[in-house]
Amino acid sequence: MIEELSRYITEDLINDPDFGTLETDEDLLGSGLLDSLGMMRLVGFIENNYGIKVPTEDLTMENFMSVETIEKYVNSKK
Amino acid sequence: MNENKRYQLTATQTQMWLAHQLYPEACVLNVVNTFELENSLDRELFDRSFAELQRQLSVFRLVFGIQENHPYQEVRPEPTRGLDWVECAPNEWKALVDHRKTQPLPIEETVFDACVYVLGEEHYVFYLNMHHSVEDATSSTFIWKALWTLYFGFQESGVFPSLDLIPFEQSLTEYGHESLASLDTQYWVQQSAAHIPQRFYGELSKNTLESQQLRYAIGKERLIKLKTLLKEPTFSSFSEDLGVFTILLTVYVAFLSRITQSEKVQLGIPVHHRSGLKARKSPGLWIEFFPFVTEVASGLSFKELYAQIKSEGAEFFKHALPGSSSAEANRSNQAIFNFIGAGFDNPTDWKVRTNWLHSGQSDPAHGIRCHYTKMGESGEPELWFDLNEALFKEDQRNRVGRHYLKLLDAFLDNVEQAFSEVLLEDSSLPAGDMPQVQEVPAVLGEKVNHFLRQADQIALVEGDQQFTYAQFNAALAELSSQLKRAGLQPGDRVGLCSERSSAYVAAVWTCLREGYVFVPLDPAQGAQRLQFIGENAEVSAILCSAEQEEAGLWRSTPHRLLSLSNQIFSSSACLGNPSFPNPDQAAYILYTSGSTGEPKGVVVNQGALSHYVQWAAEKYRPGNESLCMPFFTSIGFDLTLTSLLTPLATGGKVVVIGQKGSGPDLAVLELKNYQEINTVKLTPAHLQLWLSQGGVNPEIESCILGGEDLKNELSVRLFQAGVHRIYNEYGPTEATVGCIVGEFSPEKHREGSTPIGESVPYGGYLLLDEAGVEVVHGLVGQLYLYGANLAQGYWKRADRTAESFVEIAHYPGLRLYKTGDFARVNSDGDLIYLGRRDEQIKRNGFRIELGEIKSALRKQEGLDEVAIVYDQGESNEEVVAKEADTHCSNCGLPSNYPEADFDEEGVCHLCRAFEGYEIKVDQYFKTEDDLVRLLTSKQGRSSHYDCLALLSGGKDSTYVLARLVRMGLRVLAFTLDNGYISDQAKANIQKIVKQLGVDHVYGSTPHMNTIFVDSLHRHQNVCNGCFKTIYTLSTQIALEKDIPFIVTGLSRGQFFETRLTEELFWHTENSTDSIDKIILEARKLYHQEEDAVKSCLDVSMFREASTFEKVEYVDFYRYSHVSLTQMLQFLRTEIGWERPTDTGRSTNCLINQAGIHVHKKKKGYSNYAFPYSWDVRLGHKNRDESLDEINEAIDVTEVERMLDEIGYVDHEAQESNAKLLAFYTGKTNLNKEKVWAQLREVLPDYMVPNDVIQVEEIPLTSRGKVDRKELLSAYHTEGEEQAHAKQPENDIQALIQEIWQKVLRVESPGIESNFIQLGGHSLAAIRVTAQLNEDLGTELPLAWVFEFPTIESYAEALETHMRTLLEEENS
Repeated sequence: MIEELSRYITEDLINDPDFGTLETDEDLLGSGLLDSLGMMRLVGFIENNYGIKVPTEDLTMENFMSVETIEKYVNSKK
Repeated sequence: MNENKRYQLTATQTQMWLAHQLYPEACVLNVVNTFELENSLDRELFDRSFAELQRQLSVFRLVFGIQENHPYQEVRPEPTRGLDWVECAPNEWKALVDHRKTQPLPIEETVFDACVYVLGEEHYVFYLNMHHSVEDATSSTFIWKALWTLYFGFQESGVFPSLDLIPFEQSLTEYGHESLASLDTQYWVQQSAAHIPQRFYGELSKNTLESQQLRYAIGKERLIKLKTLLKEPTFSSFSEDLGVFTILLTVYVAFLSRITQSEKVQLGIPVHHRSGLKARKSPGLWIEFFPFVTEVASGLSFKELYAQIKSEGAEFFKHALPGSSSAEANRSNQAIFNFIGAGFDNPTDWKVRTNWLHSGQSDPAHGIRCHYTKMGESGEPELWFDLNEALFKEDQRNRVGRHYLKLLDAFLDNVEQAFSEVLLEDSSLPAGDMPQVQEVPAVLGEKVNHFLRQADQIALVEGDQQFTYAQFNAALAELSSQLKRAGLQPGDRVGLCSERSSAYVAAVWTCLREGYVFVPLDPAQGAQRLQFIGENAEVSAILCSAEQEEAGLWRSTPHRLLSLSNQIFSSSACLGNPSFPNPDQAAYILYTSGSTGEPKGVVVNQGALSHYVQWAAEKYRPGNESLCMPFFTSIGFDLTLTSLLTPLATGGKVVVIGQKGSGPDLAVLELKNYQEINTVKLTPAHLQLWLSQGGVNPEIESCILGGEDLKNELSVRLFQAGVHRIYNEYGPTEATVGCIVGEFSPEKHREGSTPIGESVPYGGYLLLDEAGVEVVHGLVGQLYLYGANLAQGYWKRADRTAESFVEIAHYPGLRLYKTGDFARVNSDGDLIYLGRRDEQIKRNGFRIELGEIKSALRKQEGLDEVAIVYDQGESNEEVVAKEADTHCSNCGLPSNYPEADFDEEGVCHLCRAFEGYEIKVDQYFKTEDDLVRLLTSKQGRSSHYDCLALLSGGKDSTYVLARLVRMGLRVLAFTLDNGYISDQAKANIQKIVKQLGVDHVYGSTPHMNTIFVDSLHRHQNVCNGCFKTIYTLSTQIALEKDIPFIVTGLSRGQFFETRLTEELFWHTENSTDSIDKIILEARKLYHQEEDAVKSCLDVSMFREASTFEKVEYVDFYRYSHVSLTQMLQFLRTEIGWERPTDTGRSTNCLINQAGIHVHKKKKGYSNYAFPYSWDVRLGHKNRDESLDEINEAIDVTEVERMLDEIGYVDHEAQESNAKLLAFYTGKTNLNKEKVWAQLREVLPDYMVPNDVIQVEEIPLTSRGKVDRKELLSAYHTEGEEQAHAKQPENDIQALIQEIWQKVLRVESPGIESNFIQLGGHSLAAIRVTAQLNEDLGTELPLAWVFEFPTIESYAEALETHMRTLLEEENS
């Protein structure tokens, strides 16, 4: 999952050939890699790929800070 | 150059490009920014930096083109234009920019315009306008930063740095490399699927490009509150921006819901698509529009609404992937919400003031756009509203921002508050305390005493009797002593049961003056109902006419019965000086229909009535004359009180018109016999009858309409009939006769309903929405009344009184009467009555509670459930017109065209006949050379033009214009703007005249809608009236400019329809010349017809024969034989004409389909069927092309909206199709005749259902209400089955059936069917009787229709009658 998430974020969202590799603990929003709309798209991707539904109240920084926290969150919902 | 690589446009670019094609002359797509610098500038370096910017950023070098019908973009290797430098004074630049920003960009050559205004050594304005197809807001921030990065980079290092930005075309080629698999385009189309047009402030969006932008600072205080709120867990989001977005969107949704009064809200949101790092380095157009659709319950608090929008917003963004939207998904976004997070970044060395300017235009589909941005002059967050100028009048525009901010402030102040309860405007209630009840006028007492002493003056006229004031005085004295003798005390109720008579008038006055409470008992209301009223009101006595006494109604009554007759006028008694009753004593109790089934008595006090009479006497009095009004309406109806009281309070007189015989009350038709009447009060239904049956007395100066909605169309007819003071009086019984009154103005009131106007001075009204909050102008609200005119309440019904006379939280201490009536203030500021929205209906002016009928019916045994439905006949349309079952195999003429007759080959009689005179028709047509000769024959005269060409923008007229120009003629093109020309057609016109280099004028008239309505009534289409307007206005211009010819572009078929009738060719002696003469004569007569064009426009020139010599009319297609295919090809290749797509049809005129719809409904076939059949016959089009155009789908909703907009009312449909239907479930099948007989005992005639139908079950809607539609559709299907009912057996029955069929518009009514059951009513009875009398030469009485209510019984009576007549003659 980590790999899949990283690939989606790097290729589809960041989509910049100059960008190197994404650290799994990198703060996605805080570092400016993504903006909030990018985050929403990421949520859409997660819902589609992992068959979960993310309720509005779960849309918090704690859950979606980095690839690592996302993995933890998704696993908790499965 | 052509070797540049070409790129496809993205979906959003394609939309922009299309918009550019539509409005090539417009500035709607200009994205304009100014950068005001107050520092020194190296001008040469700035110029070079801008050149370098163009070199490095390919967006500047993009241009657009079209190849094989597909637009493309390519990057030019060289700059497409330079940077202008303009020196001007510091106070001049804004005006220069305001002009410059409106200039369209020629995107085939360049996509930008740039200029530096030099205002001084240290003062410059850099102006940059980029076309929206290559630019969005974020992109403009990149470009600005790129420009100064180059400038300072060079200044520092002597070389231009390389910009870290990605060329647009490179992003384009990678565009769509996203997770394409997850694109859900269908999601967006479905999101927007259920589209209903939104009415902003009650008005529909109108097509105009012009828009005004109003800007509001959000302000520090609000921002702090906003940010504090976003820190709370309930409101927190991924980022502050997303939080601000969600709050502002929530407020926008609340705002739209409020101003459209709709729970469903739809808006468009542009998504920036710049989430990734790369996209944040790519200039160009990246945004994409997506629809946001939501349903909001009105009771939601801001907090709850926020939670809903936050969750729906999350779904929105999850699906908003680049490339997944479409034009289709966005077609119905009439409101836009544009949140722009980006802002301009400025160099620290410069003092810069940036500003993103509004071009002055917007997409015409957008009614309101709301932007959140920091790109204004202040650099601080602001809200900008772009407002469609046709939708918002100038003085109304500022309320949008004001209302939005009210809601935002309410949200920030109290998140628990329901958004629907926020007051958008200050209350309309007068400041301070409620208006004090003024001193009650003494009009009913002392004032009348004054007249009573004027002995010889006539007070009452009844048939050939006349009574003076002295006699009236005696009658009052006599009655008053009779009542006293009977032991009555002031405050006692006295029933008045009488037909209309002078004595009744005296009885009302006596009660008022002596303090007895009168209770009208109209004998027409049914015995049981009257008995109920008598008992319920606890009358102490009943004054009863001899006739009613004889009828035996009160035979077994416990009430004391006193005789009422005109003999009281012969009394010699004389009034003393009575002490008049107190204003707060009851004056009368009037019973109205009650929803629980029992009529309820409205108790009105003396003060309220006095106020009304005093006010009405002043308001309605014609000059210095006294009022003379007829008393001819039901005594049980409070509008009648005006006629009984007001004239005598002015020393005038009352003309009493009694009722004749049984059957419907047709006293209105007798008004014409009384020349002394100067003022009439009546219902619109009565007026309709009056106008249709002989018209209005010339002596009448004022009419007061009341009781139901008054359409302007009817007011116009009354005005044209010579009555120049027309009042529309609104007032429920509970607010004493009339309390809001408007005066009709023929200049102002053209469409829809006549306003109900202003409140009487002793009362007022509030328009409240469901939340009990005053609605803002434009919106629909329920009328709540207050003031000295309110009734005391309902007699002995404290519960109902408490329900209807209420106090509302926002207006403590104010007694309000809740009317159940709805109204709105239109854009002219007039108050318009909109009718009722509950179980109450109005039928011929009578208010009916369906519940009352229901309870009456429930008294029948064996019934389980009952539902009463008022069928206004909308769904009966199919019955009216016969459908075409076939079309002529040659020309396509439909079989339902009148007299159409087909032979065995399926060819119509017209085509066959045409074969016989085709050669002669050929001689009538000539060549284009002949046309040139004709049109140049008068050259050398003073005119600047050879001819005036009528240009509608459609294919035929565009072709004509182009050909005329090609022939070398000097042409002035003329277009009538009838208010419904589509925008694309207008763009076509603009394009065509520019391209052909001809002068062009638009004509218009403020009376267009009146003309349309008249044309719909006369010809069942809009085209006739429109054509005539075109002829009239163009002839005026031709005369003014001395132009000798007007060239029309009617197709051949169309001028066959209008003037070349086939008969012209039948006579061999008719040469072409004589045909021309006949047509000219016909044309002269045509312009003298009495119709709306003649009454609204100046047609005086058509009276002069010389006009027709000065201006000749030439039909172009008489001289040209071009086929549709040839024409379209010519137009496409030579002119670039494109068929407008925004009408949804093959025409360029939006209202055209309304005409076709009405024509089809009334006649069964399109008004184009006949002319097009001639087009086919003459080879102008082929049969398939013709049928395709005729059979184009009609948008009925849109048609109805337009018909409503122009004020068209289908009277026939309203009159004869409306039915009151009772449905019931139960074990027994009721005998209808018996039910009717019993209902008539309990209910007045107008409340008796036309039909009583047994059903299996009463269907309910999802909301648990009776499903009217379902019931009606079952009823109509069943009706078709009943068509096999017993059919006529002899000629007389057949004749009657034919007439019923025509009048009642029912297919083959069975001879046992009941007239009332079939929807018959008084007006229909008049028509049926009149027609029979005309056909048979008889004088059958009207009442027969009701006495013999079936074809069978009527025919029998008729036969007997005829036989008697014959026998009489023979003997």
